Amino acid sequence: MLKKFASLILVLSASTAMAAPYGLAGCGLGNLLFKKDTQVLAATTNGSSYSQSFGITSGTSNCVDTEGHAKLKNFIDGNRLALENDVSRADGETLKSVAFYFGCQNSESFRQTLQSNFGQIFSPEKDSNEVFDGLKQTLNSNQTVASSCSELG
Amino acid sequence: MKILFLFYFVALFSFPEIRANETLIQQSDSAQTAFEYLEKNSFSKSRPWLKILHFERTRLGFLRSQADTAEFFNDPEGHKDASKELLATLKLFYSKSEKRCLYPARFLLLSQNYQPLLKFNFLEGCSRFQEFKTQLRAESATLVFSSYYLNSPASAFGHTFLRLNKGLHKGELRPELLDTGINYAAIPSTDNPILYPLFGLIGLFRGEYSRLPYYFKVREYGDFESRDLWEYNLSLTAQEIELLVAHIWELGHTFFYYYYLTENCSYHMLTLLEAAAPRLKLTDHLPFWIIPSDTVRVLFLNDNFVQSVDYRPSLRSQFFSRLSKMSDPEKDLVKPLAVLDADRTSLLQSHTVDRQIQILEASNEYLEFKNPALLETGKIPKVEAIKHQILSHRAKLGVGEKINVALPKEGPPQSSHKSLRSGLRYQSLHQTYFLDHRFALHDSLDPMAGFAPHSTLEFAKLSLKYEKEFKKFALDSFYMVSVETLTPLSRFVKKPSWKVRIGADREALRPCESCLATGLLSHAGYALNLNSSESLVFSLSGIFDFSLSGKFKNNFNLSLGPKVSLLYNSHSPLTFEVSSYFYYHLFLQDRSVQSSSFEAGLALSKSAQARIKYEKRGRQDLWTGAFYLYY
Repeated sequence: MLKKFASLILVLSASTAMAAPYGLAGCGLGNLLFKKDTQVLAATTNGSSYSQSFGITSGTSNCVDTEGHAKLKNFIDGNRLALENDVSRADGETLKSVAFYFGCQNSESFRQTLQSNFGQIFSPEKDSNEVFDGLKQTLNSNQTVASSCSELG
Repeated sequence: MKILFLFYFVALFSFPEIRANETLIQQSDSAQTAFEYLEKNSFSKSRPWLKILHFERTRLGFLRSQADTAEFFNDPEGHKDASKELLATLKLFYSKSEKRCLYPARFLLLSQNYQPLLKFNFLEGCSRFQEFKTQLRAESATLVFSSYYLNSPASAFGHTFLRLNKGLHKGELRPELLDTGINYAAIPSTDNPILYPLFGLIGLFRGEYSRLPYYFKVREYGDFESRDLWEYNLSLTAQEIELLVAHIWELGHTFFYYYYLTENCSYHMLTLLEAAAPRLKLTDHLPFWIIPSDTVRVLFLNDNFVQSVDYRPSLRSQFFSRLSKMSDPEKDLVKPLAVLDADRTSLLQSHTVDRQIQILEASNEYLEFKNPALLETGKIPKVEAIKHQILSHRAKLGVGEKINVALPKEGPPQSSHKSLRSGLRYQSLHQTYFLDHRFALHDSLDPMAGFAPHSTLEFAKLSLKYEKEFKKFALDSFYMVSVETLTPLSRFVKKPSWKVRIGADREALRPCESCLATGLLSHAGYALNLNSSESLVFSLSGIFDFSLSGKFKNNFNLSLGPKVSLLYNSHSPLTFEVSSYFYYHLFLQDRSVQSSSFEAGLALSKSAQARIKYEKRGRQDLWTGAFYLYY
């Protein structure tokens, strides 16, 4: 009985997580910039009202903590455009950060492998989860590159 | 054994310090004894303690904490009595209650000054703070300045925030984008366009600290708002960093009422740094009004505090930098390539691969720069589709040459002149002497360094005059705010140039016997660069001048007319403007008047400028000479 109940909870929480707008954590960092446009003069980023998740003591590590494999989806969410740019040119800080997340060497082969698979990884309809999967798949498909990544999974 | 005892007693009496400490430790160590020990040297009046409690002198000279919650204090009078707060804080630590976890920085500071506190395993059980500390993994700090954004009032002066750097990971620097940004900002409780600025000015919004990944700030400022970022890498000891992180945690539990002109974002970055490292003199060097670029300047007044400065160009700066290295035929392709389903292969065919790469990159940047909404995935699918096509094509071309974005010609914000300006001016008409005072910040004839070129941003500008001919004193003008920005038209940017000024003056071009009228002046038009160094700008605009005065026939007046001007701003100490305008007064006796003038400024030093002006107003010739100090 307890087991059934527990698995029900698990299914429910998993489905709500999947219903979350962006990324597993649902932080919507990619769209957080635009939450402000409901405020007339709040094109001012100085006086913006970030959601509670960004308070110092809120402890919601999901949205702020940038370490760890699981946070890569948040990163992709918040850096989608810059990441596309960097992958297309096989260079850049955002790409380097992805290498960091996967524990890879930011080597030429790492960058060029992703660049040559640009079309498979990115497309406008794909969300952050799919981009994440695309990156992972591409890296795994190249033996040499995959072996240089300690956290590819 | 007996000899040992003898030694002990001899030592005890020979070294009073040992004896005192012995006594301290032998007595039941309590909050009271700790308090007395610390207060023997007036610790509660010391800079480290006052700074960590955010005590500052109020306008009336009282020492008060700027923290605006009761919870920040352990004593009901803690906000005005640092000594009582010291005792109450010590009592809290000795009681080992869970509430102590809210004050790790105070604990660190107090244990530095009173060793027996170290025996407490303070952090045990403070799991939320431990988690916070671990996540931050801070090893150093950088103060980041995002440059001016004239299109929005609160950002017009720039903004500063702190970045806590995570340092090394397996021997290599962690990516900067993954560092933590610590920001202080107002939490607006209204979006009413009248109340919003009012509340922000008089402190009716709460200001809070927040943390965001640095990458979010880079996207926000660099990509979304196209503002350059200047990163000042600070030199802080490991102990200071530890205190900084602990203090940020403390500040996370309180708020400060936000005053746009004084206790603003930049001010609270400095108070945070001073609390972590009281050796720093930052707010001490600042005038009453706090302008972000001034807060950057004071960093340099502390020896070796700024280790290095990095420039992070905005999307706009990157785009224009790349453009400056492209030929005209190459620039011609930027827009056509950014069209859906364009035949990019044939458009690019006559260019080498290297140049194809540059042109495509420029086209992509152009698309992003024109469409900041791209940052919201799914918002503009048509543009996303074009971008995808451009990048797919780019990805097939391999690795290209990285462009080096040159530093902006106006230089870093700390090279700017100081924000207060006062001076003396003499005008030939009626032998008039003026005393000019401006609280902030910059006009287009002030030395250009550190400011967006061809821009004016002024707050509270006052002119008092004495007309020797009539032996009369009077208020000549008072402007609350005056903003002007000239955006030269270019192939890729077609924005209008505009000016808005609100205040009261005796505008000589409005004939009403020098009456004082209050109103709004605005210009709208277009500007053009006349030279490649972009130091000479021509502009043509329409003037709209609406003013109210009892001396006007209908109590109000509207003047319209054209204005043409040539403005010169460069690195040289010389700035000048030649302008001519024609006013048509709709509701005054004298219908129209024409004025032409030449005004030049010569920087005499970092803090002084001389100006000279010749004006032909109607049929009158006027000469003016002025001397200004920036301080």
